[in-house]
Amino acid sequence: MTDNEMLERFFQPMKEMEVEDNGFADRVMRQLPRNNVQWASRLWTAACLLVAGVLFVVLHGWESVLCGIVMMLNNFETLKIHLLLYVVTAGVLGIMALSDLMGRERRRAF
Amino acid sequence: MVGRLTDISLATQVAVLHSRRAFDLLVREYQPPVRRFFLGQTLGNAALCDDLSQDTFVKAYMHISQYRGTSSFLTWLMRIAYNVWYDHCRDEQRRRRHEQSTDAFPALESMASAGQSSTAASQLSADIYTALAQLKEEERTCVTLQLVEGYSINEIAEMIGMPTGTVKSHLKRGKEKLAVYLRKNGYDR
Repeated sequence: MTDNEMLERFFQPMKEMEVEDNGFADRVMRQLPRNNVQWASRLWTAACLLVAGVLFVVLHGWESVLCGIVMMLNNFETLKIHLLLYVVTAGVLGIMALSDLMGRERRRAF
Repeated sequence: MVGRLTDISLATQVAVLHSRRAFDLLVREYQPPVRRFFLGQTLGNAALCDDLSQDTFVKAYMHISQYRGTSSFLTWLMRIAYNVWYDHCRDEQRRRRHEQSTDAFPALESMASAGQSSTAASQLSADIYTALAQLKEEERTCVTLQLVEGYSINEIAEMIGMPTGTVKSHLKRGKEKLAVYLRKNGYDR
């Protein structure tokens, strides 16, 4: 047996050694420094959502939404647009949104 | 298997969007070769190996914007791992000089005693670390990167920042020492 063959055979167990994670990745992630920019960004988004929610309630936003829906339904007859077209469009957009959401969840799981 | 383009994509997400999810994927993908590298250098000291591996990934996260994609992500990561190991050795030498300790390889003793009462697989593992202990640190690094991780001489030279000629010398000397040790201990049968 040549020296190289002997060395290859000797180190084969180490080459094939499985290194289980055993929480290693989680420990690494816990040690990572917190990103202040990301936290500030999330805080700003949360603040904006809160202000939008408060204004929606204070200014009776739901009345505008209901008016819009009623006007849209009245327009079906006025513009001679078939209700089916609205349903198909909503269905296609819904399927696209669902597909995108499922794709994100799959990537997160991976 | 996370391909090269996916590595670049994930590294970009970490650098630009500070995506911890993307970095988690990179850690899970590359923790085996990094930890295997440190197991070889620390002669099986699992606790020290994990500490150094964690330091490597934390440094990679903090300097991720320096990854240009000209080499593979693993090559870039192993360069960081080697620098972490080099810094650790330098600090250990300073500490030993200060304490005037003669204990060169404490990990070797713990591995040797662990090997005596374990299965054949761990006995072989202990023998591997005992064999690696015969080598100088640079020889051990080059030999493990080639024989265990399968990197070429050029890749090893890029990782550890040495000329290819120097890497070849370390490999030649390291393999010669190992071959003598293995023949003396009956591994050629």
